[in-house]
Amino acid sequence: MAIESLTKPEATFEAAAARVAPPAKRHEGHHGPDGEVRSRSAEVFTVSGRGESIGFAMETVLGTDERKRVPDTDLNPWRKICALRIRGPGGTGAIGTGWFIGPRTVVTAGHCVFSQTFFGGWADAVEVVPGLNRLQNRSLVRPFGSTVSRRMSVLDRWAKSDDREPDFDIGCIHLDEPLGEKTGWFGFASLPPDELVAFMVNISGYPSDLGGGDEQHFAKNRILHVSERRVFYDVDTHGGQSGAPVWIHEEEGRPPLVVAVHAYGIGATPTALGIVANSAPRIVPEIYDIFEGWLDRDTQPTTAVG
Amino acid sequence: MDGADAPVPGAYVVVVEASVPLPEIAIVADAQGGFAINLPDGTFRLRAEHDGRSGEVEVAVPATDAVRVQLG
Repeated sequence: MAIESLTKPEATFEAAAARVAPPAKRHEGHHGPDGEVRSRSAEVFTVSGRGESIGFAMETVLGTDERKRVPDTDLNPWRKICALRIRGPGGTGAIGTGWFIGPRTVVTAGHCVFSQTFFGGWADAVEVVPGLNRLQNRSLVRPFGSTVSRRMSVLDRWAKSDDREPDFDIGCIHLDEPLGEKTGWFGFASLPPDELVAFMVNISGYPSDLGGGDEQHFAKNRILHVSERRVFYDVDTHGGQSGAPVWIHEEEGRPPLVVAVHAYGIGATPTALGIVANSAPRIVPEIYDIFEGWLDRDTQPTTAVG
Repeated sequence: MDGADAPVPGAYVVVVEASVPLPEIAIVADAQGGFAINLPDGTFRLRAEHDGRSGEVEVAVPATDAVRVQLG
């Protein structure tokens, strides 16, 4: 069954039909205005290629909490990751994580913008804050400012699932202001399962338990299992990190390549797999095409947005 | 609720265990310290967090009463 993008009705664009794309497609990212300058913490924290498990990680912190705070969120790749301040139509508030794939396009988990469980449908508005950080004096820093959007999309299968299909839990926030030009954006890829297996993955986002959603925290480990539409890993995460990028470096020195969108703790891992793992819906070929469709739409004028 | 049973506006609430798949979003308690989640039928463990303090409560849905989470 083909899946499609479903756009919040107020938006000016219509959903486009998903196209079947060939496997192993890669969409290049962008470093941002200051070129390839990468943070020192990224050199220390992130992992590349395939490898052995770093240790058993739990929603979820699995064993010893391996998460590390990111100190320099104004640098690559951390600045491409955004704290999300979500407001539901009834005034419900929530936090999540998103990441740029283009100047005006932020990918996140579907439930961060559309959830029957948390919002009774579409979120009303989302504030996007790239590189949000808290300094030692406790003050909050927004190195690239922030912007509020009411334009969002999700996969139609997610919207129709009543929050019951984790495989399709992917969404997007469309920005009027091109904040991604200040931060750069991630590349993303649709890789076949046999290429993904055993890759080391990196995940960074804004959890509620460490730093109260105001600090970015990073963790890494090895992929444990790849299903048709999801990837499973023992990487420590927590509430608030929904929507965070799950990225690999195919080789040392290669740019980050996002392969999945973090969304679930251990409760969403089928017991039949026999593993304790968190998970993310994968960027499969049809999702890849939908991402490109979202990017195309965000290059269009947005003057008539309601 | 804090140690004095006062509501805690801005506390985060996350579902840390569930009998059905639930995602890793964190809900923010409103100005009255309240929150609402439309959970499906099942059993759940909710965790509330605020300024380094936390508390957990188990919930079975359908539940008949409002849930209160005490921060330790």
